[in-house]
Amino acid sequence: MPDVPLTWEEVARSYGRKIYNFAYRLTANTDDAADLTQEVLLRVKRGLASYEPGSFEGWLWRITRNAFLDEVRRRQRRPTVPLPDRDDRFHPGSTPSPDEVLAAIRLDENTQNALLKLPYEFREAVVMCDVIGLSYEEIAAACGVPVGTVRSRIHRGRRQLRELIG
Amino acid sequence: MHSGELISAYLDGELSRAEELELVVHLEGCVACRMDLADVQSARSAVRSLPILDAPGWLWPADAARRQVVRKRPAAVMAAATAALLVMVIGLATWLAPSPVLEMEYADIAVTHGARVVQDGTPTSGGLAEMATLIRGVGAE
Repeated sequence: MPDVPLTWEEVARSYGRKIYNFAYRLTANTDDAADLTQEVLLRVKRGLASYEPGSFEGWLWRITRNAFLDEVRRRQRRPTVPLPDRDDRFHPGSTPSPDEVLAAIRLDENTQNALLKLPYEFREAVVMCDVIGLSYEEIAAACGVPVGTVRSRIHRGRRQLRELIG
Repeated sequence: MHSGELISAYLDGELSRAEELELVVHLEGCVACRMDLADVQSARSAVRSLPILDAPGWLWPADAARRQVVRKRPAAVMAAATAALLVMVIGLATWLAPSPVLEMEYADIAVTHGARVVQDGTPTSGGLAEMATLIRGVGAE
């Protein structure tokens, strides 16, 4: 992980997709996810000039988290649950049957719906860990909480998810 | 005592070596924690198997730059159109400017056809307007 990001373009290329997926898994809405990603990239662009080398991941995800919470406060609306845009799990060349595709989409929908029902702090921690792949320490830095709290949120989030998924 | 939160951290490789050993020993003798481990592992796998989605291309710098070019395109078209119009105006003005040859032609035509050259209103810039005047004069005779 870079301590000093080189340029905004590199940050956008390296992290944009992750930011988008983070936003999408929290909202289940492609438009909201795109808007949020754009907002985060704008904030990154403005913030890079004053960025002081340290935990870049923590800095970036703190910006992402703040942008998300600001947007939620601004809109105060319920997220919708569209189908996933695309399923990358099917490799080119493999030809899953329509039933397999539908089953996978239903599973994804179940999981996504369950995520949306989690308390925000749990959902955020689970998504940062299991979708984005951040370490507990990075999540703690992004959320401004101790690592022990992250550990607790992830575990409780997963247990609730398991009950919700069934 | 159940291991609780240690289970998720164990799956994520976030335990210290000592914590990990402690948990493994505990799991061997605790059915409830083994079930908890299976549940948590199932939820973890479900989220991790969600597809990674592609963001819209317009979010990225290269595409954003292209979008800016596209947005600037009308300005470029306007500049080109202005330049083309300027060339046309200059060409037209050059063509319309009175020339000695044309003046002489008027006189020749008047003499040859006995036409009366009439110019309406203020002096014209010549060219097309004067030719129209001349033709009208020819028809009047």
